[in-house]
Order: sequence, then structure tokens, then C-alpha cells
Amino acid sequence: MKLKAKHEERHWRTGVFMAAPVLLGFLFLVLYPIVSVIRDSFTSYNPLSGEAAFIGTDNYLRLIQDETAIEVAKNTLIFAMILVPVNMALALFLAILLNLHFRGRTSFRAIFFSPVIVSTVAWTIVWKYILQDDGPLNYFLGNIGIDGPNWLRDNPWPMISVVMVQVFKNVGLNMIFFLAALQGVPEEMYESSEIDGANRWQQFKKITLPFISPTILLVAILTIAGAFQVFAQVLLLTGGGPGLSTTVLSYYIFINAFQIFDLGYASALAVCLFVFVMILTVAQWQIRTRWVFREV
Amino acid sequence: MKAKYLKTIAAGSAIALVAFIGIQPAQAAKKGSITLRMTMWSSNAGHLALFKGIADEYKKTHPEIADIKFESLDFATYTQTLTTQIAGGKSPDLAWILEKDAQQFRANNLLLNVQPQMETTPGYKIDEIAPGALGLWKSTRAVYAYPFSTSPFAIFYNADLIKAAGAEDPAALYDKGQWTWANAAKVAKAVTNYEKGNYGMNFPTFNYTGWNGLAAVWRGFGAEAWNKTGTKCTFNSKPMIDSMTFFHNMIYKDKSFPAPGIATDFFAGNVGMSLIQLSRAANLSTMKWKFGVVPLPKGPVADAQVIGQAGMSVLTKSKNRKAAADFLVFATNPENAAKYVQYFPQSRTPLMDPKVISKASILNEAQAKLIVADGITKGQILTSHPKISTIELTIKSTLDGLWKSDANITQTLNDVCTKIQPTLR
Repeated sequence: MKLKAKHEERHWRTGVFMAAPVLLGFLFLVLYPIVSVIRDSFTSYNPLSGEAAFIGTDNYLRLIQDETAIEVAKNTLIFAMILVPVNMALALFLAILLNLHFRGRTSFRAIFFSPVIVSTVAWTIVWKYILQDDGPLNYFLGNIGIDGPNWLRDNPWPMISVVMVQVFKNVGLNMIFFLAALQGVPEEMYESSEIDGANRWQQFKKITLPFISPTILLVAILTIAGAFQVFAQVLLLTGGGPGLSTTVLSYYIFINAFQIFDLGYASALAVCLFVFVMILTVAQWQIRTRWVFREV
Repeated sequence: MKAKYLKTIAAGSAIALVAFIGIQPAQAAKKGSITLRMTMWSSNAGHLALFKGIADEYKKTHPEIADIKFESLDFATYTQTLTTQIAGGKSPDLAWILEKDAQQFRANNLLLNVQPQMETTPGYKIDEIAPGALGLWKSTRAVYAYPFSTSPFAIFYNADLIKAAGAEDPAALYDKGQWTWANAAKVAKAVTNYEKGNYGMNFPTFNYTGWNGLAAVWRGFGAEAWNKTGTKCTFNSKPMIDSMTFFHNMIYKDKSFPAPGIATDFFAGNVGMSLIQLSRAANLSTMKWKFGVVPLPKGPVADAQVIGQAGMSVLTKSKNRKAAADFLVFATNPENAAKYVQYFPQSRTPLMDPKVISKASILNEAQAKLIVADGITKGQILTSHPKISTIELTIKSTLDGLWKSDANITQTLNDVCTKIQPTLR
């Protein structure tokens, strides 16, 4: 018994030490910043001068009355509501195509995945050049008789442009998730359904979707969370303009923190964003029992 | 036993966390280990070579300095990037500071008072610096920056392109006393040719983001962003509406000024005129086409010359303040200031002599007197405000309403005042 207890203790000790780096990383890189931001949201803190004063809930009261913040929140919701379904639908479509057997499919998989590993800044700067009013896209459209809009200035195209740049950047990652899930669907399910007379659409609806539903949930959680954090594309493509039409919450937080030097208010905005995304994530997690097949 | 290990890890983590939060790393300056970093918004090879040369000379007599680095940041986001560095604890030691940010940086105690070093360094001759040029950077007992560039805005033009378009040379118009904004617009319209990709005029400093540069246009119409005390918005005044209507027509009626999203480069040779400062015209010496330069056109109300200014400062959040201040004083002494003349108009009185400027720069003596010497004497520095960071983004985003063909100019300018007036009070 003593030997067994000693053995168990050694295993436990090993496990704790192996997990310690991650725990420490979580403590310093996640928990500490979150606690700092919550603390700063109750202060008026100028990061340039270093002056800070406790002001209670004034920042939160100001947020409720800030018309710009309300407009920015609407922009953020619109952005997410367009990005998430477009990204997921396109990723699933590509995954289904690339799950078929044809020559060169590995190369196509690599091509669609490659934007994921390209630097976001480099990707966005290239697209900024492409989407210029006299850039290659409008030049191409002009050659086929279409007068393209100023993609980064004429509303509603700036928001659509930012969404599509983000979609094309990350669709490859979701495609890989869906591809892995599709390859886990048992072949015999399709075979038996074929014998029963099911067509392709019925197979997709009744077999494919249920089997990959856990992956759909994962991709939805990640994509929705990511949609609320987009920043570089807004900064580099449109600078939040024209006007405030492409200013989303993460960019507005940055402006308040590092251009207006009101870190307290920026922290309050960040806390609200964090809480909102947390609520969405929990809500998605709760609905899994209803929508996710084979919930473990 | 498990509880014991849990307690050990918890205690270790807590100690590490406290250490992480509380301890400021001490950096003792060892001999030969100080590295200074200066941020700037130019990546021009000539500018960098000039500063590096000065730095190399300084290091010969200052063995405690291991290196002096010059970090080029994009002009459009320069202040934002600099302040992000400062706020993030990675403040440079020295920095170029824009005139529009001078008051804000001073109000936040970001700029070190370098007057003691300037006054006690033999041969520095602080009295040579024109008092007007020091205005933004000086208080009663302190100097917060050396104004290393006091650069009037001017119209540089491609004489060959304008002649080929059959338009009158701006210098000829100036000599006849007819160099007005109305005539400048006519010249620009004559040069514009879409098939060849030619535009009449561009304005790189503005480029639909740097709104305060529009003072180069609106002051000729008698307009200003706010009153002298900075407490009342005057964006919606009639002179401002008139000036912006004129400018809007150049963009959307005449189409001689590139619309938002269209990239143009005066130095590529397909833009007739460029509203720029001498400090940005360094590339002109390498051009194959003939260039000319004239002051800003007269407006219907005023012959208003506008100056952009940049200061070189030591930042109070630098970890090497004394070393940085010593280098600043060396880099801006009379001998080194004379080296800047080729690129940056100087405000030391002997260096404002047109003969000195023409020898060192691309301008001839007559141009040097007209553009630089007279420009600095008669001109007014660009718009600034102590709360600039709070209001400039609101102004920029609201003014975006102007940059479309069917803009309601009066309404847009009224909106600017509605939004910023509460902050100005």
C-alpha cells in the first residue's frame, strides 16, 4: 500500500510539474492582464502621463451614453453577422470539394490553407493595394465592362471589403477542421443510405451534418470569438473609416487607449466586449445538447 | 502530500506574480553599453545617412555610447505608433515631434527640458534660434525641443508637364501677382489627363487623413479650425465652407486632384503640382524633369503662408535621459544644424540666409529667399490644440463626409463643430 501511494504521488508530482509552465503562462499572460484591465476600467488612467484615479463606475455609465460606442457596437454585430456564416459556409463548401478524390487535391488544400500562415499585416497590405480605386481589381472589372466602386471608401463596400479580406485569410483553417470531420464520417452510412434511396442532399442533411456537428460547434465558437476581435484589417485597410463605418469594438478600444489616451474607458469597453463574447460562447455551449449529434 | 505540493506551487506562483508586477528592472549604465534610439517619420536614405553620420561622430568622443539607432515609422501613423511605444513602456530616448502634438506632449510631461544643457554647452548659441520658431517648444524657463525643421508649405511643380499641357507656369503667374488659388486650379485642370494618368495637383501630407494640413488651403480664405483661444469651433464658418467647397470642386468637379483611394506620386513625374514642404522634396534633385517652386497661392481673403514644424526632443520616459539630452545638444549645435539645411529649413538665424540655404539645398537663392526665408518670417505654424488627441479623430472621421461627390459640405462642417465643441470648451 505504501509503495502504491508513493508511486501515485510521484506520478502526480510529475504531472503537476509538467503542467506548471502552462499554468504559469496562463497566470501571467491571461489572468493577470484580465485582472489588470478590470481594475483599470474603474479608473481614469492616462497611459502617457501615468496618472490614474479611481472613479468607480463612471466609465461604464459613460459607455451607455456614448453614441459613438453604440454605433461601433452595431458595426461589430453587423461585421460578425456577415463574417461568421460566410466564413463557415465557404469553409464547409471547400472542405466538401476537397474531400472528393481528384488529381491535385493536395495542392488545392495547400493553396487554400496558405493564407492562414501568411502574416495578417502582409496579407492586409496586399489587399489594400488590390482594392484601391485604381487598383488591380477595378482594372480587371473595367476590362470586362464593370465600373467598380471605391471598395474602401464608398459605403457599404468598406465593411464588405474588410469582411471578405478576413474571410479569405482564415477560411483555410476552418476548411481543415471540416475536412478532418468529413473524413471521420463512416463510409458505410453513405452506402446504406444509398441502398435506401437517399439522394446527395438527403445524405448531406441526414448523415454529414449530424456527424460533423461537433466540429461545426467548435468552428462556430472560434469564428464568432475571432469576429469580435478583428483589428489589423480595420487599422490597415480603412482606419475605421469612412467616418465610423468600419470602426469595430476592438479598434475603438485601441483608439481610446492609444490615441485618446483614455485607458480607463478603453478598459471598460474591453471588459464589456469580454463579457459579451463570454455570454455568446456559453450560450453556444449550452445549445450543443440540442444541436450537436453524439454529444459526449 | 498533495496539499503540500499544491501549497508550494501556489506560493511559488504568487511570489513570481508579485515579482512580475512589482519589480522594475534596474538597468545600470555601464561604460560603452548605452544604446540610444530616436524615432523619425522619414526613411529617406539621405536623411538617415545624415543622422547616422552625426551619430558616428558623436560616438567617437563618447565611449559610453554603444550605438545610436534611428527608427523610421510611417508618417500617417507616426504619433500613434510613438505614443503606443511610450504607453507600452518601450519609449524611445529621442523622437521627432509634430507641431500638432507639441502642446499635448508637453501637457503630459513627455518632453524633457533641455534648456540647461543648451545653455551650459559651450558654443551652442541658443540665442541664434529664432524666438518665433521656438514658440511651441518653449515656456518661460524651459525648452522642450529643438525645432530642427521649420518648413513652409509651397507648391513644387513639374515645369515640363505644365508646359506640355499648355498651361501658364506658376512662377510666371506669381511674378505677375496672379498666383491665386483660382489660377492654381486652372493650371491643375489643364494638366489633368486620365488617359496618361496625369493629375493636376496632389497633397501628400493631407491624403484624406492629415486634415490639419488643409490649413494650407483654408487660411487663404480667411478660415481657421477654431478661435485663437481654442475654445470655439469655427469649422462651420462661411470662410471654411467656401474653402472646402473650392477644394471639393477640384476633386470632384475638375477632377484635377486625386480622389480618395487613388495613389499618386509627384516624383513619378505625372503630377503637375504638389503641395509639400521642402523637407519632403529631397528626391527632386534626382528628377530628370525641370521643377519649379512657388509659395502657396493667395486666397480670396489672404496671402497666408503655412509652416509645418518638427521638433527633436528627449522623452522623459527614456531610461537614458542625460545621455539622450547630451546627444540632442550635440546633434543640434550650430555645426550640425548647418548640415540639416540641405533637407530641413533651419531656424538658427545664420542658417536662414538664402545664400546658405541655396548652397545646401535644391533651391536657388531667389527660391530660398521666397520660399524658406520669407515663408518662415511671414508664415504661421499649422493648427494645434492641447486636446488634439481627443478631437482629431472625431474631426477626421466626420470630415470623411466631405470626400464624396455628393457631399453636403455645410452639413458636414456643422457636424464637426457639433461633435467637438463640447471638448473645446
